[in-house]
Amino acid sequence: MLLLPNGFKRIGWVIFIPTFLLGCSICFFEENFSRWLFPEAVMNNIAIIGTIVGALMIGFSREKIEDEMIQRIRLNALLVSMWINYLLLIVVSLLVYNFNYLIVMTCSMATPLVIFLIVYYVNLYRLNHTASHEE
Amino acid sequence: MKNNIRVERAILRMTQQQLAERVGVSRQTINAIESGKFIPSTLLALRIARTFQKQVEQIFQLEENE
Repeated sequence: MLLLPNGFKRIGWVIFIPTFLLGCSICFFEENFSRWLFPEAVMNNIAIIGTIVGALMIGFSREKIEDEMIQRIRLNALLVSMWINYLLLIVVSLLVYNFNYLIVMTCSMATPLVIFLIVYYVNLYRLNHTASHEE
Repeated sequence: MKNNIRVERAILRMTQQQLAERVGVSRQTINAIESGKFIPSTLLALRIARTFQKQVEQIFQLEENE
């Protein structure tokens, strides 16, 4: 399995959260903090590369106990997230035109991974908190 | 598919966690197998049967419509 060791998960969260928030603020609020930190191009790179690298580390590193059920959950989450991502992209493509579509394209660089993380962790939560919990 | 894992565990006074450690999976996996939410692979089923020193068919049974 092409999975990173479990330790990368925590590093992934540390990288992902600030860079994802930075990316959202650049995309939707046009605030890239280039007045106080690095130039605009550098902040853009930090946002997109950090989001991607962080999400890859979180999503594709081993769980503490990596067994076949977790592998199945991960595979299903990948499938579902691909469906959601591309159906959403189709709907948004029909609704957004002209220069605004650049924002859609920018977001679609990160949405497959982000949606996968959401689906994966929702499934994990459901697994750990269902009624038939014992010992 | 039905299984007798809970009964077999009770006979040996084994917790889900102990069984999970013996066969190399997580406790949630054992829980999911017992409650029928997850079907184990052949390898895992054989390991579970070996832990209980029984045959696989004595632990897991196909239902009528399967």
